[in-house]
Amino acid sequence: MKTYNFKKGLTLLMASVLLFSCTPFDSLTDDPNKATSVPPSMLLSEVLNNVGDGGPWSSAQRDNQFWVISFDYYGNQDYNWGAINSYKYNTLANVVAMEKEAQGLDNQDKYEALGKFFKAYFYDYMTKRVGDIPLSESLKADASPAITKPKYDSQKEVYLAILDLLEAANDQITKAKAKVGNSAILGDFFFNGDLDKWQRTINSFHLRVLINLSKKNTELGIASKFNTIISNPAKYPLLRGIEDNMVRHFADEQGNRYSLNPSNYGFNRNRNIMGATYLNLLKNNNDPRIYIVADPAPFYFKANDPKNLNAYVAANTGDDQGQMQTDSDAGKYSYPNESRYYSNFKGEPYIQIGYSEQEFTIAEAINRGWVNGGNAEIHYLNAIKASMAFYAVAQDDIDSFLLKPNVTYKGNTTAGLNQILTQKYIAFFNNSGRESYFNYRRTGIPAFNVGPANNNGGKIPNRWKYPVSEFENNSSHVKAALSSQFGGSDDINAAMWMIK
Amino acid sequence: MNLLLMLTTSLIFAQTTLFKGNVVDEQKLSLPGATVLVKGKTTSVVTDIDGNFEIQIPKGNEIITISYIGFNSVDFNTSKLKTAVIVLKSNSENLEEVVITALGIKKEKKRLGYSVQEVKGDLTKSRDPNVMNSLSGKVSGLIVASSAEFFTAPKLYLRGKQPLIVVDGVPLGTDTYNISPDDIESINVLKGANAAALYGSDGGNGAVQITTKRGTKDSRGFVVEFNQNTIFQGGFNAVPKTQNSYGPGSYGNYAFKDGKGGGINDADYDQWGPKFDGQLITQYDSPLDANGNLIPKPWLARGANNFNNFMETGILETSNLAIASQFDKGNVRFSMSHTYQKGINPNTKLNIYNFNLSSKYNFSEKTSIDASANFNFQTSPNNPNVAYGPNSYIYNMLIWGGADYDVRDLRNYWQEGKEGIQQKNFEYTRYNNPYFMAYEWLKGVQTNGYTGQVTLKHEITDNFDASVRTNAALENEFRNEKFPYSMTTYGREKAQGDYKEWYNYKLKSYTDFMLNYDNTFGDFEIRSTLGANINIQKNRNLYATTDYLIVPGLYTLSNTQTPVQPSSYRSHYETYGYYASTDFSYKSFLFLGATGRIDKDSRLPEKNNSFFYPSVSLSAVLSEVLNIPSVDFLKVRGSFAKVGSSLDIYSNLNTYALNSPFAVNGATYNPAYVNSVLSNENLKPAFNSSTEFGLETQLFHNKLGFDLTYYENKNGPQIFDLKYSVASGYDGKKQNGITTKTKGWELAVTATPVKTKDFRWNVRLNWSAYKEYLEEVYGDITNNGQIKIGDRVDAYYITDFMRTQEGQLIVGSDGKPLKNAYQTRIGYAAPKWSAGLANNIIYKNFSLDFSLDGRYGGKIEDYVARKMWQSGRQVGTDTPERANDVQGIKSYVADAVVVTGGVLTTDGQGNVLSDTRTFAPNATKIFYQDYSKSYNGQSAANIIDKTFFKLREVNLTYTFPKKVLTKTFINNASISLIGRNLIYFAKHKDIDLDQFNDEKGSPLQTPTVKSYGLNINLKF
Repeated sequence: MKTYNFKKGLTLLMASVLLFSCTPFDSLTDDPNKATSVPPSMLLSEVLNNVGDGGPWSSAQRDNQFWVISFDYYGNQDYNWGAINSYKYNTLANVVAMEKEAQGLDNQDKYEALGKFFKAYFYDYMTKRVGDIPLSESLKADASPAITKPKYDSQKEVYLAILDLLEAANDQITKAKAKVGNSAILGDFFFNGDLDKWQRTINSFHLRVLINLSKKNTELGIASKFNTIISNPAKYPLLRGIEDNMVRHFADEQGNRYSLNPSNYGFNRNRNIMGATYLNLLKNNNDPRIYIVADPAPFYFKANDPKNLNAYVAANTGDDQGQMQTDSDAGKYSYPNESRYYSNFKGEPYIQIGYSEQEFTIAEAINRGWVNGGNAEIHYLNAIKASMAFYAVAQDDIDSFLLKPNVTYKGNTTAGLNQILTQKYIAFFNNSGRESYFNYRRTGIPAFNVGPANNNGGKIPNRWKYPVSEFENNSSHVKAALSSQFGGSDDINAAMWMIK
Repeated sequence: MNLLLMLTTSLIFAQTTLFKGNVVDEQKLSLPGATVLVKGKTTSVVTDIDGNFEIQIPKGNEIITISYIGFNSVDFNTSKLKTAVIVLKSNSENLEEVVITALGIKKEKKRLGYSVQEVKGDLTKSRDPNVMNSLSGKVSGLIVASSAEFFTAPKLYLRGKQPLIVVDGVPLGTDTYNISPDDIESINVLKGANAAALYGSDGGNGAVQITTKRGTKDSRGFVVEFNQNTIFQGGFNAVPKTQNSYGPGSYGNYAFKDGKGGGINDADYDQWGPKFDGQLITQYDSPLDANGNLIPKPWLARGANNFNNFMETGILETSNLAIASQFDKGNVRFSMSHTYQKGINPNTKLNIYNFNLSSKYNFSEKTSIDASANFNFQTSPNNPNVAYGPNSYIYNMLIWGGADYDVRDLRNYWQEGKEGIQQKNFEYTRYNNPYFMAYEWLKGVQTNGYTGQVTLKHEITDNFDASVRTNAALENEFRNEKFPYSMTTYGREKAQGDYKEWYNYKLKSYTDFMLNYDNTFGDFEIRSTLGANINIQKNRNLYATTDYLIVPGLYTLSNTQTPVQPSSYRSHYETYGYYASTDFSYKSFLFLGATGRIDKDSRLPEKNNSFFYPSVSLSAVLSEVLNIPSVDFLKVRGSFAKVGSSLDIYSNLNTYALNSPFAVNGATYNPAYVNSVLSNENLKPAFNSSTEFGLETQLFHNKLGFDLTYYENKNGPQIFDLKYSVASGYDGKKQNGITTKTKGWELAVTATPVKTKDFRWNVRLNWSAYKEYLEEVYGDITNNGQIKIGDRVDAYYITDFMRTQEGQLIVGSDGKPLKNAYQTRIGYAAPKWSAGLANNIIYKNFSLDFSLDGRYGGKIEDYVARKMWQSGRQVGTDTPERANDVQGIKSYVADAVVVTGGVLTTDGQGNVLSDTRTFAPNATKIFYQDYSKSYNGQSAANIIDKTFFKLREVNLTYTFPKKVLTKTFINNASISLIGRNLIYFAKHKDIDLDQFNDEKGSPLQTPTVKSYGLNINLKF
């Protein structure tokens, strides 16, 4: 009887144990929450989210001196730059994965063409910020044999590779366009899969890369490369107008709200002040865009003379923030235009790569004598008009602006070049990441402001430092790169190859 | 019933004689609580506090047996005697305290070759809602980092790592709020892998083992116990101190218009505003003039006591009723606990209902079943979020909020005519009305936990027994958050409400089969166990949120402005373990133990998912063979153990993770990205090994005892992400590597300085210290991030201010301090040592317990102070220069130098390549506000010492004498005055350092308070 009880109990217990147990191990190893394969469109959406460098009213736009912040708690413009905010290799790994996932699909060429462009885009993004970067040995952690500490390639080698990638991207997208009826590219919030617009953007970006290498014209034959593109629009179609711009549209959506909007007015209004480097250029030329982008300073505003430019007072980037805040509290500064930037969640579209920039770039190339038989003035005026169109300036105002002596093109001279670069800077306002800064770094135009708030010895730096993680995980290569470029010092004021 | 019958018979027949005795030890000290039994009968009594007893001796059964733990039992013939003093001899063998070791196996403590410490003292008196907090200072090597937050379990660190919590031999499947101290029989701490190896992977850091009560030891065979605690919580131990001389604004400027940026600094402001001088300023509650403009009113520190006025006195009430019975076929115990807590934050409460039923039934002398069930319901309708942000009262009231308003004026928090839509507040952009938060922003949690356990045991022969034990624990947690219209927090600035829900489901099943063998061969004894274990864990989580609400106040997921974004997570793993353990003993002198375990774990790569690990221990009771004067007991021990462990589930797979979908212009996009850490199919389990040596001794008739341990824990090779250059496309790969070594000392001292008939004083001291060093990384890699091989892993690096070689602060041309472009070490995060001192003083019927514990050394950033220096609310910001700021005069000159020429060149890691700088004294006058933010408001200026001590527990108990109770139905009664955390000793009292061990930063914290109250304990 006793044994019986025990056996019965044991059986019961065993049964209860079995209820919970004995799932074969191989069915437990896979993660039910993650995918082993995804459509390339999902990777494209991720990559596109990483295009660019801050958005409108970001710190990038303060480095560009378009606006200044008076509230030290939320930031400064002291130019005491540290390391590059992010190496883009993780994004590049997603580009590689996108190409891999597109293998064998009938839209493989389409994704691959974009893949080549993104590689060119992100390598350019990194190299122009720091100098030499790994390229030839990069992205090989999962290759066989794996390279876990890639060597650094010289900036020259990097740019040669970027230019090759852009050529190849154009070729492949031409091929992809010819394959009619293939499945489209999905996950693309810039052009909704429109390959023609992508191709124009790629070539426009190609021109950006070339003009940024203007100091290496002789070494790399930049002029002839530029000429090849400009003289063959059939092979290298370019942006035709602002409707071709690569832009991000904002809306009242989670994560997609314009950075200034009604719900953050109280945080930013009296702290986000128009930057003098930019606003004074508008003021000096009586530029109609000034009334669209900025509000007059309340302290100086006269209701009976609303368009008086004396009320448009910007703060210098180099000014002490404490004094700036006190003056702002007294209403002595111009702020971003309230109705344009604070009244809704859409704001204005953010241009990544735009027609106006492209036209200024072509004008500059012609001014420099790179292009056979081009007319710089036409492109210069196209560019200004494109910017005016972006702000929907009235035609009368545009016409009278274009006739101003400072604005009419002074010819393919240094004075003309200054005009092109100055107007390019104005048209860049709050757009295209740090391109304004890179143009300034290359040309010195327009003059950037420095003052007591500058914490970099009164200088605008030339570069960012290498990421700290590289000193921990790829130390000998990054140190070799520093010694071959800058005598071993990770100096933000040292000049890299492309601007020498 | 039997008892009642017996009492009746003795009354009627009176065939007995009364015998009065007094039981003492060899030092003639009374022994309270000794059991006196009439031999051959069931009649028994217990000696009182003075060792006295009275017993009716039936005719023909004149022999009584007196027994007491630690003493030899004595048979005493009472015939012809009416009274006697009976002396019990202490039995050195009775130092053989029995402790529960891994898997619930009972062993005599002296046999153990590793460190086990039993928690002494009453856990049911000065209690906390979470019983783990009662372990503070009671075990050497165990740090209880008690949280300042409501309904938040403490973090436990055993030798610096998180131990496993075990209940009745099985790892706890639910949470520690499920354990009622009234149900606890004993708590043993198995310190480290050496003791807990049999628990498998989870036991690698040691275990806190709780044994719950079974039946009763009451001689009557049954008991009804009632324990009631009422504790009030109030009086701050640690709270940030504020200045109340200046109000909101910047550089002395402030004027309210709409609280949304329309006035001067009236939105998202700092506390650098105008001085409270009664001047006229427009304010949030200014009356309106005929044109609808605000009328300025006197600017006064109306709310200097806002925080004190807002916070409330907390109440903690716990009651427990337990009914237990012991009978010849087994035992049964039922216990019911209710904990009610009203938090110190307004509108917070917690209810915990805990039901426990346990029973043992002996089918026969050889076969028994033991079963228990626990049901636990926890509910708290509102759990404030203290994290830094507009959700926090500290943020709203002590850091960024000022004294310009009286919080009591905001108790009716809706704006008139906008009830349900718009809060009334002193600002309308960043900050929230504290009462509005308390009563409308509700973060509720409900948890139901169920645990069931059955053990079947059978003695096969005299030497063999077998048992099977299975435990299943299920926890269902539901959380939700109601976020009202007009409330804002980070990322929710549109202020149109939200609703969120979380469902978490957790199942743990744990089953052991064990075969035990026990035999003696002459002077040798052998005890062995063979076992197998199945462990199953499943988790399911669901979360969904609205993206702002359409209908204000309607908290349902469908009421969302854009489609709901839900997310889910599931996981499931199993481990199978096979283990063996053998203990040999020679006489009662030499003990050798060994264990081995093989685990198979579904989380590991298939190739390497089975792994073996052993442990071995040796101890010798030298006092058995050596006769050293004054030494009652002396034991030395040594042990080595290795424990293998698994990796985080699903962390070794090459997968794509899906990011949250997002919308651009109405279209939805679903991004996915590559897992940035590559998997490794050759990955092996992680290992952890520990070596320890110990010495235990009892001296001077057990009046003084020491237990000293030295250990070295080798943590690794672990499983870690071997870092690649990011340029490789991946952040790294899963690898076996990183080995750290923890070296530590533990000391437990027990002493009885005074022991007389009426007065006894016991002291217990626990002290421990450890340091953890990086020993190996991987291949030829010599560093793990900033930590180099040979350095302590808790080295604390910060970006310090730039200084000259002589240490003088360097400021820029703007007069503000400059910071280094690299990080430097300023110390270590973990404390140097921790200690606890407990005293127990008994005088007649009074008993006083008090304990102190704390930690010494270690560094942490005082985050709240840093933020208050930035905001201008820190009490120290009220400086003379500040009075000039508000006049628009710059007057602060930092005691520093400026660089006049030359350059400092460093590499990326701060090593100086060249330094040609020249300096001149700083003469730049700046606003004090700018200095406070740029110096005091930086990390480097707020690194503080972690040293603190607390007067942790004070209990004064009065036990009612037996004779008072004889005429009542109450068998035992005591009443206690209790206190907890009564005094906090620390240099900086703006934060309570108790919750930190090796943390480098301090999150915001609800101020901690003292607890004091009353406990009543009754036995029927």
